[in-house]
Amino acid sequence: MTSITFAVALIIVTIILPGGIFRRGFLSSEFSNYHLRASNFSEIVFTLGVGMFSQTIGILILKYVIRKYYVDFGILGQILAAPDRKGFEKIGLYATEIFIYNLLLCVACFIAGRGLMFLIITRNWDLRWRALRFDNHWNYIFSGKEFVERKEQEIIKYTNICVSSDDTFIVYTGFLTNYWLDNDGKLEIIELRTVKRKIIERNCISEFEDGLDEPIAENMTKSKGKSTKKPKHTEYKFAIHKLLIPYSQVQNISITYYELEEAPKDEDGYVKETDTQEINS
Amino acid sequence: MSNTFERILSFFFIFSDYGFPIFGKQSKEILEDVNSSRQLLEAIDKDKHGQPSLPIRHKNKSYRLVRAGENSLVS
Repeated sequence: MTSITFAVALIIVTIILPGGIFRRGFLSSEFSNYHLRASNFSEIVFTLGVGMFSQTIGILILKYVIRKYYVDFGILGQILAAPDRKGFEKIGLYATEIFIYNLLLCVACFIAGRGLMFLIITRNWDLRWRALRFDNHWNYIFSGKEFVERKEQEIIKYTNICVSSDDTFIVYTGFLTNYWLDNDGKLEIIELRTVKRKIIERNCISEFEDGLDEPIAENMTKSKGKSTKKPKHTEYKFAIHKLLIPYSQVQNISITYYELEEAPKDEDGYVKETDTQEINS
Repeated sequence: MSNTFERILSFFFIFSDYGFPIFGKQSKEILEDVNSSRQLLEAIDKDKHGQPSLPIRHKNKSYRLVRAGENSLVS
C-alpha cells in the first residue's frame, strides 16, 4: 500500500467518518431532506471541519483527562512518509485501543449531532434564528410548528386539496397526517385521513372562484354582469383509512391549523355547552 | 424504566415522538375513535361557519377547538 493510499484511508477513517456521522445524527429527522451530495463544497467542508474538531477534542481528552494513552504522531508521520513493517507492528500492539477510541469518537459525534438537533427543534431555535433553520421547509408548513406556543401543544391540520381532472376539479378534504419527498427533496405524496371528496364541474366556476373552499355560495351569480350557470358540486365520503395524493396533480392546498385545548371541567367532569359558547363568542 | 428506555430509543432512532410530528399521538387517538372523530368534524364545520363549537370528548377528557392559523399554497 503506498503512503498516499494509506494517508487517504487515514483521513477517511479519522476525520471524514466522525464528521459524516455527526451530520447523519444532526440531519436525520423529518426536518431534513438530507441526501449525500458529494459535489457540494460546503457540505464537504462541514463534514471535514466537524471531523477535525472532534478528533482534536478526542486527542486532548486522551492526553489530559485519561492520560494513560496518547496519539503518537511520530509513528503516524513515519507510516505516512514511508510505510514499513515496524510502524504497522507498533500500531498492531494497540489495535484494540485504537479501534475502541475511534468507535467511541463516532458514537460521541452521533450523540452530539442528535443532541444539537434535539435542542434546536424542541427550543424552537430554528424559528428564532434563520441560520439554524433546517432545509426541509415542507415540514415547517405541514407541521404547523410556527403556530405552537407551548411544547405540549398539538396542531391538527384540516386540509383542502384541489386536484384538476379533465372536465372537473376534485377537492379532497381531510386531516393531513403524512407526506413524502422524492430524492431531490421535492414534495411527492400527501396523505390524508377521514377524507371527503367534492367534484366541481369546471364549466360552472366563475372568474374569481377557484373551487377550493366549500360550500360554493348560492349568490355566485352576482359576477361582473355576466350570467353564470348555477354551480354544481357533489360530495362523497371516502370509506378508506388513508388517501395518498401525488403532488404532481395538485392545483391548490389550503390548510387550517387547529389546536386542541383541554377544556376546563365542571363538577361532572365535562364542560357545559353554554360555557363553551361564552368562551368562543 | 420502560418509559426511560423508550425515550432513549426515540432519541437514537425514532425522533418524531419528541420533535414536532405531522400527526401527533393525541390527534391519532381522537381520529381513530369514531365518536371523537365525528365530534371533531362537527366542531370544524361550526368553526368554518363562525358558530360556537361544542367540546370534543375523548377518554374522560374534554377538548375545545381553537383555530391557530391558515396557509394556502398555489402550485
